[in-house]
Amino acid sequence: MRARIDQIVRKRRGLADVNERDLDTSALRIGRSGSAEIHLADPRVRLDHAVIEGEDGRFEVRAVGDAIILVDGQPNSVGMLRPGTRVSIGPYELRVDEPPPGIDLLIAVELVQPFDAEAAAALTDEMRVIAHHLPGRRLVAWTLSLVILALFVALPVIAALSPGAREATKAFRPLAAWNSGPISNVHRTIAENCTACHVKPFVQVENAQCLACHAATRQHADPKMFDLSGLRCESCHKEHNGQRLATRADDGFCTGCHASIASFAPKTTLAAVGPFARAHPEFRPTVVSDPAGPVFARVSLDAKPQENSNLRFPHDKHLKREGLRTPTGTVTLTCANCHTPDPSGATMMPVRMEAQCGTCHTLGFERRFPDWTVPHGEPDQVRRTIAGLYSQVALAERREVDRAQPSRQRPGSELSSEDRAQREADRAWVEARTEEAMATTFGAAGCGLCHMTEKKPEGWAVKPVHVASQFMQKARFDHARHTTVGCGECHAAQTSSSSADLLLPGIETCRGCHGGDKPEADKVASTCLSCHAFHTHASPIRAAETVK
Amino acid sequence: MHRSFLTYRGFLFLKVAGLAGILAVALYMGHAPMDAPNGGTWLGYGLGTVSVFLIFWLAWFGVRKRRYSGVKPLRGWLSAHVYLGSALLVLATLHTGFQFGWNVHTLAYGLMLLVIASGIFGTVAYARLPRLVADNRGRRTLEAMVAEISSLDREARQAAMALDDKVNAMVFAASEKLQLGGSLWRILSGREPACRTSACIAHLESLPTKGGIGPEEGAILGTLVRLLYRKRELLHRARLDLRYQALLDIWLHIHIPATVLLIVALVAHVVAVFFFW
Repeated sequence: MRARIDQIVRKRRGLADVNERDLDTSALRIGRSGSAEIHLADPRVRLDHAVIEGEDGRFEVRAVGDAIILVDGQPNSVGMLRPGTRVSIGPYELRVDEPPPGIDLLIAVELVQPFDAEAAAALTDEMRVIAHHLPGRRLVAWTLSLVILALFVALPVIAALSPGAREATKAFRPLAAWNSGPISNVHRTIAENCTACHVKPFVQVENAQCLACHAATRQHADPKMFDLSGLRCESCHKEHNGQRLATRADDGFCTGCHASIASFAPKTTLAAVGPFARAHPEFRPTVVSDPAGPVFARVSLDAKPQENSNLRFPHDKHLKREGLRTPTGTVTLTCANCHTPDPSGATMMPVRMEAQCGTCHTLGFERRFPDWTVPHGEPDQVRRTIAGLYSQVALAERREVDRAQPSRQRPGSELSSEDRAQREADRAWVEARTEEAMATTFGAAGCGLCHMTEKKPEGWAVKPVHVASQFMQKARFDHARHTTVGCGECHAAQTSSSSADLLLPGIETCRGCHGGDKPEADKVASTCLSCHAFHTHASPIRAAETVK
Repeated sequence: MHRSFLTYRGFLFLKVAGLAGILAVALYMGHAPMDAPNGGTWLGYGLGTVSVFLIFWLAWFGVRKRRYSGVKPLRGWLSAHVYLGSALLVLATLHTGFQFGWNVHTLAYGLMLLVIASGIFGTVAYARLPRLVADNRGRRTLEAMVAEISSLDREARQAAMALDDKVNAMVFAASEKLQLGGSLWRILSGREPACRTSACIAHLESLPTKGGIGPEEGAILGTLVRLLYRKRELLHRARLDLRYQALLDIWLHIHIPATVLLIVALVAHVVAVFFFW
């Protein structure tokens, strides 16, 4: 075939140079190879890319191997070549033109997709500026700022101010985001209701909100005598700190006023109190200062107060190690034989004659009748009991006599003078026996063993017994929490021979274990509130007395 | 030069920040509130107030930096910004009393941590990276590197034209588009696991050394391999350079928006605390 190859080279402004070549060959090889008839010098073309063959005006282009060629835009491995056919090989386009006379095939070759080496090797902003890979800083900042303002300011404020909005957003709980910490267990029932306590925006929780529920809470002191208007519940009870309601309990809280209490409350009768370990005054138990009244008074243990109970009870005799002879044999008594704790375990139940003493100290008075006893009661009652018992004896004797000599007296008739004399004699006998027995009973070996008794013109009398129901009236002592300590370590009962001894331990005994709120290494930490309560005055705090 | 803001006036602001931190820790250890340590005790309010002012002052540095007209160096300001910003970590953490939860308060704290952490990252980057950048570039600019890569590509393409189609195609593929950058992660990693130049080298290295190759083709192959080695080396350096530039830049993209969010969350925190006092 005779073929003409027009190599078109475009220049600027669309001008083209045409390099024309005529060939006489059986086939036109197209490729990158230098030996190809149509040499396409571009890496995107294969060494042997395609071949054109044919004769008699019928020519076809055929891809070599799996090389890709496009014939009129369609990928094809073979295509007929007619004038107007366009074949794409890599970046080149081969256009079949109407051949001039003497030429079988005219092909125009043009590089239509030149390789832009500059663009291929260019540094782009995407490589150099990482901002291109990120959302805009302003966009992020503004968007998220609005989200924060909406979720954490606007929504909670609306919920806080409008109960309707609060109800509408209940499931979403917008105010939960404001919660600075878990509410204490005791307040959990109102945990979801912020406005139960936080009533006014930007105002601290007021006492009135606390007293809405805690109406019975007592004052710290008598509000008539002392100005308590500055006290705020919230100063001492802190919320949102977890399971336990934080309550101020450090010693400094109390000693801040009580170390120099007179300067805060000139009318006080309280002593100045500093830290427990070194500046707490000696205990002042409530004792009977004058048994005649009786007058109860708080007396410091330093003043060695005595019990004026009108009782005689030597502890040492009852706590003999070798034991006591009792109606049921020899028994060694311990404290617990007489002192039993109350159901809470905090204090001891009162000692009762019948239950504790009666087992040994039977109230008999007549040697001949050991089972005769008097009640542990008033002298009149005792006297009636004794007189009754002797009357029975007298009556029994009279019945014996009557049986031997039956009386002929008719009902309703007057007694004979003999009978009357007999009865007077019986009554006198009973009276005499009763007086004797009363003297025995109320004497030193009877009631007088324990009680102060005296014979008055109108009869025997027992001085009333006075024992303070609670010695430490300003403090709490819980025996149940001290069961690991023996009774004797605090109460010197074993060596006490007189009921005048006040068997209370002094503060030094407590300090043996307790070291205040900042104890030494070997001491138990104990705050003022370990023994003392704050809300002690009888009158409740009223909302009207709270601070504004 | 890059270190100078850290050593400014003999570590003056490091000392100030250290003292503030130690003082705060000492006060924290010493104070024994009736409740747990928290933002509402006297020390909590104190540390919170100081922290708020510190945050606004630190943020002011960003404003100042933008307005900077270059009359007086900002080195002292930057030094104070870095060290006092680190001290804020101590002050604000003690302000929380270590009470954290799913709330706006911890949100503000978390954002503050993000700002401080990104700031520390930036400080370390500015202290360390300039030297690495200089060592890596070796008196060249990135543009010069890329220009050299481009010229190496041209020569490689030319050399490969005479070689078989597979080699030719690989060389062309390796030069078709500069394999720098890509996703943010790719840039930050400084690596290109699918590097076509490396693949090309690996292919050429795997070719049998004997048989079927004429001396002319052998010479071309040898040239091509040398070109590609050089190109690979330059690509590696260019990728490292982009990585360093990105590291010097990326933290600001967190530091600044997080600062804005921190200030907003801080306002929300303060409103929340005092609205329900």
